[in-house]
Formats: sequence, C-alpha cells, structure tokens
Amino acid sequence: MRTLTADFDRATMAYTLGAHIILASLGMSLPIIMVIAEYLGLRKRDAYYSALSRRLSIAMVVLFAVGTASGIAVASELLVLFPPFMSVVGKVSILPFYIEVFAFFGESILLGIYVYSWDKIASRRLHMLMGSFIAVFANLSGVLIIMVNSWMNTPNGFNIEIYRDHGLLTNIDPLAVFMTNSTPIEELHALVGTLFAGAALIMGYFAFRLLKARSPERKRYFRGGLKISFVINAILVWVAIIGGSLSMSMLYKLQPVKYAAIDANMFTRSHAGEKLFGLNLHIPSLQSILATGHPSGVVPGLNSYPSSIWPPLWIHDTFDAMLVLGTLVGLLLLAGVFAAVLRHRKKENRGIIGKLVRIFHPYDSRLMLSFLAISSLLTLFTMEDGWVTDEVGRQPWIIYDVMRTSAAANTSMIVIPMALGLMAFYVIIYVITFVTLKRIFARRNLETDIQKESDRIGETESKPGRKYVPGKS
Amino acid sequence: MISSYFINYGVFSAFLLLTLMETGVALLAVIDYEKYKPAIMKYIVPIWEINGTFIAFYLVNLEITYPHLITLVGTIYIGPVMAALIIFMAHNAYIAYSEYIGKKDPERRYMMVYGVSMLLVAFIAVSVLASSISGISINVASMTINLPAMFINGFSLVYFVAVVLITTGVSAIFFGVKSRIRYLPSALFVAGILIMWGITAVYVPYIVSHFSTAFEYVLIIVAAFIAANYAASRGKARTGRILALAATYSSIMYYGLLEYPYFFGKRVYVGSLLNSSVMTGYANIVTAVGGTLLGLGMLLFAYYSYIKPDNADTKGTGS
Repeated sequence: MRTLTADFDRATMAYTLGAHIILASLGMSLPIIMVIAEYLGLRKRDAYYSALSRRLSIAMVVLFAVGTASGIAVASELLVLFPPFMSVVGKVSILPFYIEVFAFFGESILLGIYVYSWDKIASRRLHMLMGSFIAVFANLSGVLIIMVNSWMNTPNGFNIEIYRDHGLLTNIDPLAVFMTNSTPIEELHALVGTLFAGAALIMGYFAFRLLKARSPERKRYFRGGLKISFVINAILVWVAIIGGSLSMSMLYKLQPVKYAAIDANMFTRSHAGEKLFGLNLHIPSLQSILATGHPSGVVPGLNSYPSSIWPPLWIHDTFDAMLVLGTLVGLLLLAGVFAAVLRHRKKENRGIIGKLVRIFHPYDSRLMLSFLAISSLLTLFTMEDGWVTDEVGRQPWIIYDVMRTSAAANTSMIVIPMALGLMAFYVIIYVITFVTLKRIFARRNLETDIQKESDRIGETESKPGRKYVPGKS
Repeated sequence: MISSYFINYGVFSAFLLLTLMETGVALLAVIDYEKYKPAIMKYIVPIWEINGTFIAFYLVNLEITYPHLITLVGTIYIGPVMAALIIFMAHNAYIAYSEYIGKKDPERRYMMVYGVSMLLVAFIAVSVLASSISGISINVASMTINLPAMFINGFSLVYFVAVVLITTGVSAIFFGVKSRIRYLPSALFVAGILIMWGITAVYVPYIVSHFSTAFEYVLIIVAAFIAANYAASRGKARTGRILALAATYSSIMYYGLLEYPYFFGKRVYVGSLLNSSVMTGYANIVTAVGGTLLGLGMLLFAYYSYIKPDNADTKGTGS
C-alpha cells in the first residue's frame, strides 16, 4: 500500500509540474515579447506593435491568474505529498524558494501597475521599464526554482555522510544551494529550454493566425508578433542545444547512473560508440569522445551499479525523442533565419537558393508558417520530454544519493482520490482558460484596438508615425 | 528563536487579513454583484493578486520556521489542502476571466463562481485553522485526522460563525457598505470577538487563561474598530479603512501570541520545534529585505491605483 500511495504522490507531483511548466514557460517568455513589442511601438511609433503589447498584457494577466494558482498548487503539494523532503529542504536549501516568493510578489505588483496604468503613467518609457522588470522577476523565479532542482540532483550544504548514517543534518550552509556542482549548466539548459518552449508556443500562435489572416491589417499585426517571437526562438534554440550537450558531460561526472540509463549503456567500457538520434547510424568511440574527450575514455554502464538504484530505462527513449525533435526544430529555425537574411539582402531571386528562400521564409511562406505552427507544439513536447528525462532519470532518489522518493512520500490513502480530482481539474481549467481567452480576444476587435493606439500616437507624438489606415498595411 | 514564531505568525496574520478581505468581496459578489460592483472592482485587483502570493509566502515561511512540524502538518492536512487547491484554481481563473470578458452576463456568472469558490476556500481554511488550534479530530501520534470531525465539531463551527461576523463587520467598513444601523459593523465585529473568545474558553482554555492578564489589549482593539466605524460613518473612508484593518490585524496577532507555545490544543509544544539552524538568520534577512521591498511595491501600487489620476479618459485594461 505504501508503494501505491508513493506512486500516486509521484504521479500527482509529476502531473501538476508537467501542467504548471507550460504556464511557467509562457509566463517567462510572454513579458519579454510584450516589452519588445512596446519598445518597437515606441521606437517606430507603430500602432500595430503598441496594440500587440496591450493585447499580450491581457493574456498575461489571465495566464498569471491561473499560473499563480497552479504555482501555489505545486508549493502546497511539495508540503503535503513529500513532507520529509520539505523538512530537509526547510533546514538546508529553502532560501531560493523564499527569495522566489518575493520575486513572485514583485512580478504580481508590477504586472498590476503595468496593466492597469497604461493611461496613468505619462512616460511610456517608464511604463516599458516596469514591463521589463516583470520579465526580470518572472525569469528570476525560474532561475531560483532551477537552483533547488540542481540541489536535488547534486545536493550540498550539509554533511551527507552523517545524514545517511544517522539521519542528522549537520554542518549546514544555507548559501551552498545557490551554487551546486550542477547549477550553472542546469540553469543554462533548463532556463533557456523553458523560455524557448514558451516563446515557441507564442510563435506558433502568431504563425497560425498569420496563416489564417485575410485583411492586410491583421496580417501586419500577426506578422509583427511572429517576427519578435521567431527571432527570440532562433537564438534560444541553439543555446538550449549547447546547454543540453554540456548537461550530458555533467551527468557523466556527477550522476553516472543517470548518464548510463539515458545513453542505454549496459556495460562500463572504453571506446564507446554512439548511435546518432537513436537511429542505426553508429559512430565508433563518439560517446567516449563526447563524455571524456578521448576515444579510449571509459563511460559508465549500468552493470557497475546495483539495479535497485537504476532509473526506469525508458528514459533512453525520451532522451532520444528530445534530441531528435530539438535538433529538427533548431534546423527549421536556422533555415528560416537564412531565408530571412538572404531575402533582406535581396540575394534570393534565382536558382535553387531562391526556391529554398521562398519555401523557408518565416513570414511569407505559407508552408513555413505551417511548419512553425507545428514546431511550436513539438517544442512544447520536447520541453516536457526533457523535463521527464531529467526528473525520472534521478529516480529512485528525490535528493540524489541521499533520500529516496519512497521514503519522502506521504502514505495517507486520501492521496489517491485527491490526486485523481486534481488531475481532472487541471484538464478542465486549462480547456476553460484557453476557450475563455479565445472569447475575450474574439470580443475585442483587433482593428479597433489598433485604431485606438494610432489615435494615442497622434495625441502624444508631434512627428507622424506609422498610423493605422483601414485597409492599408 | 521565539522571534521566528512571531515573524511566522505575523506573516500568517497578514495572509489571514487578506483572506478575510477577499472573503468580504466574495460575500458581496454573491449577495448582489451589480449593487456592490463599484466597491468590489476598486479593490479586488490588488487583493486577489497579493493574497494568492501570500499563500506561497506563508507556506515557505512555515517550512523555514518549523521544519520538524512539516511532516505532521503535511500528512494530516493533505485532504483539505488539496481540495482547497482545486477550488482555489477555479477562484483565480474566474476572477481573471470576469475582468476581461466584457459582457454583463458572463461577467456576473464568472463573479458568482469566483465568490462561491472563495467562500468554500475560506470555509476549508478556517476549519483547518480551528483544528490546528483545538486539536479536535487529530491524532498526533499516528499522524491521522478524522475529516468529518474536523469540519463538524462545536469549536470549528462556532469559530467559523465568529469569523463570518468579523469579516462582515470589516468588509462593511472597508467597502463602504451602507447600513441603516450606523454601528452595525462594530456590533458584528464585537459579537464575533466575544463568540471567538467564548468558544475558545470552552474548548482551548489555556489560551483564555493568558487572556485574563491582558484584557486591556482587547479593549484597545475593540475601541479602534469602533473608531473606524465612526470615521467611516463621518465620511472619512480612508481613516476608517486603515483603523479597521489595523484593529483586525492586531486581534489576529494577539490571539496567535496567546496560543503560543502550543499547537493542536496542548498536544504539540512548538517551542521545541522551531528551527534552530543557521537557516533562521538568513531567512530573517530575506524576510526583512523582501518585506521592505514588498511594502514599497504595495505603496507604489496604491499610488498608481488610487491616487494618481488617469491621463486619458479610458476604462479598464487595454482599452
């Protein structure tokens, strides 16, 4: 029975976090896009970008409301599903969580001012600055949460041997959690990956809407949103891929069992080859080179460790899926960047290059817009998949090599009905939220919003800007 | 070490005060949304946004203050906490939907869902609080709880009635609800306080035994509330609000101080469970710095929301 309730604890936490990180990724990337749109609106005196910024702020509030509740669900679940774990965290590594609370406060207060004071703050630059701080606080929350996750993977800040032997927490250093052995690389990979997934979702939305848009003003509006999110994604995807490669080298050193399971290494060996993307494309010694820098380097295999501490071996498949999908999306975005640059330099007109530019241009090619819309969903899947690989890869530990998840779990039977209820409710609230957002935006006429922004530009600027003229883009 | 108890209870009192305010909003929304809409809309945004974040604030502070108590609290309250979480998500979602839907009918419906879900969350929260005070329905040794008994017992139910009376009194002043009886809010507040102390004397007498030595504090709190009522009825709404909030915060704080050093009736001595590690010092620094920034942020919010006038004649967000 203990195993059953522990499994429910684990499943509930995984489900809630899996659902929450979608909102978290949107909450981190949306304010960045919103502020860039406001900046472009100001700089170019462009009513389309200004309207984009305002409309994104509405989406931000609704997603923030649901995200706040979802974040509180995660915080509360940690307390009630894994109380012994939180007891250790409370003594050793809780400071990032605590600081995150204030970052969260900062975000909520500034979001309130930003959204409800468009017409009260005379200086639009000050308003934009507030928006920038929303983005800073939202991303700071992400940085702090990932610090605690890094600590779970590579615990420090207390005497681990004494805790293992006697269950006593001694030599506590509450600041150590801010820089564990895995923190820099995990921050790079997880933070950028999360931002990338959120920005990709937004990019997919704009690509889809641009594909469907008929009027010139709508096309211009959605194209503006797509431009911002595409550029962000084209940069982030490659940083995420580099971070992923560094993460594997880190696992080799710090979590060899996880490394072995992810790479499906059953035996410790030298000259280890690599099957690229899980395909039958075997390159000799590649894995040894990637992990150790030498073709003869020894990589760990699961046979060197007791099976009781092996993570589920299917994480090899989730890892391969993440690698394949991430690389595909990266290549697609790279093709889009080349097409946009060539078009910009007017070098795309002839031959095969011209044909490729027409296919892969991120704003003009209908085929590419379809690819981008689909790739946003694939990116979301890749983020979830990567997160599952990381978390399941740490099992059976909740704190790596220190505390087992089963030992930290709440064994109360009430977990089961409550977990099922929470899971069902998440599905319902997500569906209602996205349907309601659709209704909200359907009722707010886009052309009217652009016209209002155009009027504002006319009122506040002496120089003529790019104002809205119905029917012209 | 005891200072961390006070800090934790201070955070809890602020959280409870915000919850009372939001419960007041919910009551008004359920009773007659159209009538009270102007009063509700003026204050709902900072309250629901900040209150949600305060839950996280309190939880993390609790985990720092009582790491040894976490296992007990987490194990016994898992049912009500998860039920409250589900309802709380609906509450947050529907208040945000209602702000932007822009049509009268769905807005009223959404506010009704928000109001009812907030009242349910408040009922669960007060029941959990009451059980943590009285210890009724809880077996500390086996870390189990009898849930029906937690909700339905003399102490919890009467305690809930007292909370409702206090909430109604405070909300009436804060939201400027007009009444034919000028001092009805004070009457409700005082009745709530008397009922709360009465039921505490019956079920958790040790709290009231401290109370007899410091009765004057309760008199000061009640006097402050009556003064708030007086100020509000004389058109000094802001003074009335500040005094009412201060009186309510003080009464919550005072009750908590008398409850120390026990939880769950007299079954858990929290004096020995307070975190004595070096973490406490660092956490206090974060509380001081973060709390100051939070205070400044709320002042900034109040300035932009209630003091600074609009530059343009616009309504609502993104209009």
